[in-house]
Amino acid sequence: MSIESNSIRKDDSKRSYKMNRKQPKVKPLEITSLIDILTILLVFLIKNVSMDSTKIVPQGMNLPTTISREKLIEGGEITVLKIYPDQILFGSSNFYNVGSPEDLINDEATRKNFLTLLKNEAKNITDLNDKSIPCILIQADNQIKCRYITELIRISGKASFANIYFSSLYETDKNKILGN
Amino acid sequence: MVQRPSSRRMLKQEASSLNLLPIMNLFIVIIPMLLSITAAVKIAMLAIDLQAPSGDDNDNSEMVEDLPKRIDLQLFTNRIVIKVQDVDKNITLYAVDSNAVAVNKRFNLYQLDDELRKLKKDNEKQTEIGIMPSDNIDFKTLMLAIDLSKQNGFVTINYKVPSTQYRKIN
Repeated sequence: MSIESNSIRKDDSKRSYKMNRKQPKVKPLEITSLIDILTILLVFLIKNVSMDSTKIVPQGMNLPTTISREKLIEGGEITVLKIYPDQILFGSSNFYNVGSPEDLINDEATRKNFLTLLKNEAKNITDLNDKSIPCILIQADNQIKCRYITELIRISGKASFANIYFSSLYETDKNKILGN
Repeated sequence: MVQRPSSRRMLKQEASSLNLLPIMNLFIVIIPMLLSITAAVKIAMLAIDLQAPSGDDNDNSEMVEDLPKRIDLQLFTNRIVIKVQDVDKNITLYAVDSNAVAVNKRFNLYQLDDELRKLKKDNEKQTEIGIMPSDNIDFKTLMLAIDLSKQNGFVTINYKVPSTQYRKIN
């Protein structure tokens, strides 16, 4: 019995060995085409990625949408004015609370302080680099009334900020903006 | 006496394939990172100019004739008025729905777009337009007026600031 079983086992092992030899070799995974696609995708993404825009979007503000967009004047140094219904923030890296839009209209001291701040900022910009042009970027909520914008522009003009830009969201579809 | 090649030579050199696994790992990290930081919204900027002080133009009478006509856009809560220099009749676009909050529901912006296009056609040399918003106009309406003007070839926007006087109240 044991002899028989041994012989069967030997036969089995031979058979399995033969079968293994007949099996085709496993081909390696061809990932060259995948790499090509990924390379193209990577280059495309690196070209299109813009990190500036994420920095500019102010929190808690609904910017208006426009179809046009413009580039900043060459050599322009931007100072941002964020106009919220309850406060106006001003600065380039550190933001100062100037007061509320209502204060700007009704309070003379607020207007004077703001003018002084703007004048100092414009002076700092030109002192650092003679070729720098002071620019103001106004970011305002959709619902802010133009009386505040007008007042801010008037004060900015007095403080040598001749280049004024309005910030908006860029939309390519005209019908989305004009349509009902 | 000819010697047979050394055993080292006899060994078949296995074709060494490029190890792409590190590159793959790099891609797997970089691509999702780039996709996540790509800005979904793009920020645009619109420039305006402040009104230049008007000088004495008595000596430049010949030059004045060549200058294109001045165009002004006045924004009110219930109407938009387009004034063209030396043209008596203003173009007035009344609000479709004065109570509507959204500007595209309050005004027929397609009509404003058409009017600006016609104006540009009639005054091809003119690239400047003055915009004077009334106090109660919201920022979105102002931006749309600027945007449509720029779209129709009035690339220089002159923001007209009405003169304001402040008085002390005792």
